[in-house]
Amino acid sequence: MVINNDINKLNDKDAFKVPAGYFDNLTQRVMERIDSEDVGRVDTDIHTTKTVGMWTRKSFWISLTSTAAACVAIVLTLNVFTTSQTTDNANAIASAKTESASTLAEEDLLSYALYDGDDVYAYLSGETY
Amino acid sequence: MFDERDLINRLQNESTRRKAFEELVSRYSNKLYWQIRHLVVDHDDADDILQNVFLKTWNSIGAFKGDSQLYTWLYRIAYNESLTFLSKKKNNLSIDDLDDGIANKLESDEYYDGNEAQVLLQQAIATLPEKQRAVFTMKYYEEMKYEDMAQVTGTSVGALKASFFHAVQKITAYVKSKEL
Repeated sequence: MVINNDINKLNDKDAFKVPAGYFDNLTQRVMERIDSEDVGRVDTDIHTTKTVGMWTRKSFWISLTSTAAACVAIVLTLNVFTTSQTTDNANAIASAKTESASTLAEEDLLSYALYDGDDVYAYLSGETY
Repeated sequence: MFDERDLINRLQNESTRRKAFEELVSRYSNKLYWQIRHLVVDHDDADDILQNVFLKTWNSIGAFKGDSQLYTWLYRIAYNESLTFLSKKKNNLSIDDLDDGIANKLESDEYYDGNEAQVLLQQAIATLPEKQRAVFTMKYYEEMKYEDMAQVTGTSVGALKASFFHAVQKITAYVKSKEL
């Protein structure tokens, strides 16, 4: 076939050269480039592959620490406020109870003091008064 | 005797990956280099592309499921990288670059030692569309089977045969036009 013969005459496979020793250190250069541009991007489809994921990212830990610090601050503030309020409430309740108890005691005392024998008799006999 | 399955297993195991990858580079770099080099011609370009191929291979080795041969997978990455390179390069070339520019560059290229006729062939190849150029170099330089080329390119055997035929026609026409 004329066309193929013409092109085959031009075959220039031997015309291509490489620098001396190019293939000798190619593996080393490839590995160095992998190390320098590394890597953390190894595909995660296989579970055994090494992945720099969320838990090992610096930015993630900074965010997490900041969030935790903010939460602690909020909790402490609320705690102080709540404790203070609780103490106030407790004091108020205690005070009210004391006041109430003393008030009731006085009223009871007055009531009891106003009772007389006729009242007791009427109560026991079911009479209205 | 080389056991490809064993190499794949070691590549997918974190503790053995690095050593296995060095073995992969050592085993396939020569063949991949020449396939890239015949397509892009310039040594420095071929070297850059080859390193990118291995970098991408390293980054995606976990995704390799062993559906095809390891070399076919590597060659597919090399094919895609080379086509991307040629496409970018084509956008930066003028019509003049495709003729005298390539001839001048090859004549001054210390890693290309072709005669006048061989430089003419390179000029002719450079006029082909990227995919046709890839098909031509796979068949012409590497003497690949169409079935293997189909796996690499994702193109049917019939389409590849047609592509090679058209490439030969164009190259022959170009060479004859320069000989007149």
